[in-house]
Amino acid sequence: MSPGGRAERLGFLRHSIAQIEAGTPTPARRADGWLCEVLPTSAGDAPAALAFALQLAHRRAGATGAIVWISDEMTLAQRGLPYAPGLAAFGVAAAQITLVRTLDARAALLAMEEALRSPGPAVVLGEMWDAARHFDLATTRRFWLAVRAGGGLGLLLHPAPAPGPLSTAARERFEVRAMPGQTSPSARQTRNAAPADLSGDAPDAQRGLRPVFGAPLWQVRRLKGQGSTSSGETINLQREFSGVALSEPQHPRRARR
Amino acid sequence: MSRYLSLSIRAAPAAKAGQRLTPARLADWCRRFTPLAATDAPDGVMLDIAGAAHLYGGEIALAVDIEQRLAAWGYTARAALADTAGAAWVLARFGEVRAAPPGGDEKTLRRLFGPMPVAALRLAPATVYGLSQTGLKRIDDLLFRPRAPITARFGAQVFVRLDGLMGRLRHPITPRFEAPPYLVERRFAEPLLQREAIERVLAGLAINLTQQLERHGEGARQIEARLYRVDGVVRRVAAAASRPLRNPAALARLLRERIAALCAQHEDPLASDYGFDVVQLTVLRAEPLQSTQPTLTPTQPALTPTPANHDSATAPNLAFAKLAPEQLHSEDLADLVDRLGARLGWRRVLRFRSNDTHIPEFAVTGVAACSPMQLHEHRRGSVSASSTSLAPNLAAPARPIRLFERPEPVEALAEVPDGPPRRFRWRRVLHEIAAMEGPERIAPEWWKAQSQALTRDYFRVEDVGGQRFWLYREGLYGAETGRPRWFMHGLFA
Repeated sequence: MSPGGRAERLGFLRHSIAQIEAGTPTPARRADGWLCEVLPTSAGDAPAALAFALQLAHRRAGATGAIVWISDEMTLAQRGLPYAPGLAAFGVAAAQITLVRTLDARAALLAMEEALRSPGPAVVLGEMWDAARHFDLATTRRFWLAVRAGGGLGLLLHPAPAPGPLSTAARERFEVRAMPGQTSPSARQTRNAAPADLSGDAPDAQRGLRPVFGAPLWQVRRLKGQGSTSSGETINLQREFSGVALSEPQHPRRARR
Repeated sequence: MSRYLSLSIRAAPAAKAGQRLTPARLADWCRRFTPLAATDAPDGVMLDIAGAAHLYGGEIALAVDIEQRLAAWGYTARAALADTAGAAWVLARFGEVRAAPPGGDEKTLRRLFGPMPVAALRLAPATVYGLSQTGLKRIDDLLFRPRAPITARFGAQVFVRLDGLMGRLRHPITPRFEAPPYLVERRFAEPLLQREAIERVLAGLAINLTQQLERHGEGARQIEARLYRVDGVVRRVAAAASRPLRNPAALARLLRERIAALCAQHEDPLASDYGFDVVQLTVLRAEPLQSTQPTLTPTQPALTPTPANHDSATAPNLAFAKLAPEQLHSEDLADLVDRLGARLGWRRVLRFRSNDTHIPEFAVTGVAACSPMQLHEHRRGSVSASSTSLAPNLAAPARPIRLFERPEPVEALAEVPDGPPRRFRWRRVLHEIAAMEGPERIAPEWWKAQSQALTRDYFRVEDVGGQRFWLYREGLYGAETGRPRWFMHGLFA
């Protein structure tokens, strides 16, 4: 072997060792695998729960990471199809999403495990009708093992609140409730100004009092989690929950180090 | 006459119509000999064996082989060979020899076909009768006749057929399926029975196939495995990929997924009492695929931080930002999408495509993730995504996050027929409206002549519980309809 080639190889070896010691994740593996569960407080809050899950997805996937969205036909019929122009408002672009429509629960579970195991998608969003029954401890344990191997973020979305206590292997569980929307200051001003202008006209004034449709607001409870945050806390979240102390999922092994 | 009762006789239903060997099924089976096989109604099959016969020990041996195989299934068949399709047709039905001499001149052909009856020209019975009435009974009688009077009386078809027979005109055959751009196959003296053996053969064929693909710088988008059962049934397993593929393991895995999916639907393609004696693997659609240089280092050298100025917190993010979207939609993702597509069927694995329309349900549609225009759309979508995520705004989103495939009728109560709703009942639940915004009027596409659609007035409404809906009223009150109807079209977060 030529001296130059030897030096090059040694340099590469040193570089690799330094990288391993520093524990730098390679670009391909963005972060550790994580499994979250998101539930609505009532069946009507399901879109709010989805939006919250999308926010979590956006944090992990960024603007370009791939999101695999797996849903069974029953959920899509009852809750509607994902609508790309609306998703864009939550930072998730249509191009990031691959939608998998499965005929039944069995195919959905199979696709979810497959997707979680793959290192390709940054986020796997799985929803299923009667999720409380299908996402049982054994299934979610399999999901957890799969997502640890794949290194993505798994989001299990329930279309309705659980009828009983849940026992799953998900690392975190959130419960989301839709709140009356928050209007922007400018919108509030026009609303307050309206009755003064039209004080003489009673029906118009009434109509003017009606608040306009504002930015969405949710109440999020963290029912299960790890780390210092106690479970059961409640936070009100706006659409971009910037500044909210929602702890980033941290793997225990890395936290110890 | 005597009768007796035999207890050992077991009755079985006659072969179903689906199992009978129709010309189409026979043509499919004949593709084990050559890729170009055409049905020849009502009772024949035409094969183009140019360049294929030597694989079976010559043309005569091939014809004998086909006859013997069909005879083994109880069919009487007659195979004949000639330079043109017309001559082969005549020889198979009227000829005394099996093959016309290849490249034969006019004299030889005349000696061969001259004594045959005019019916060999495959003419309508009335024409054959008419010709025989005039004394023209054999092909010899027609060969040197002046053409004009016969054409005037019996039509041009007579001499078109005659020229086809004598090799002056060439009629191409119309194969049932196009010849695939790539085909590899393996033949066995003894039929394969075991599933594992067949899968191993397919995996081996995938390696041969990728070698061919590599030589031409192409990748497979659509592949098909064909399994020829010894009793004449052909099983086909097709799989598609979302990008050109040249990895033998990936190709074999796609087929395995597809076979598993078919087994789940109780249509096991490998189930066989007889076994398969020919296994083919073909590429139905290929696309150019550049070879990529495999990197020597586990990560991209330019993206990894050097040990000297290493910062563990920011380095991965920087590396992440530098990667192009195409790289992020990595090989792994495409692999997953392909496997899911093979397992669940491609109409269940979708990506979104935006369309140039204002009608909400058509503005974005799901298309199969393996459809060809995907890459271009992808890039365009990524650009718009980054622009929206960079500029967050506090305003309420204009479009819902979920849209019902079919808008659901609701009972809405408005103060005036063309005013905003006050309350509505949807899925038997009464919702009191607390806030709303609208209308957003979306007119139907009047430039399309058949459009019977009505104008829609969309309202974004929020009920007292904070749940948000996208309602619309169909039809302009007074102008289009006297009773506007209300529909629930989507849900806001």
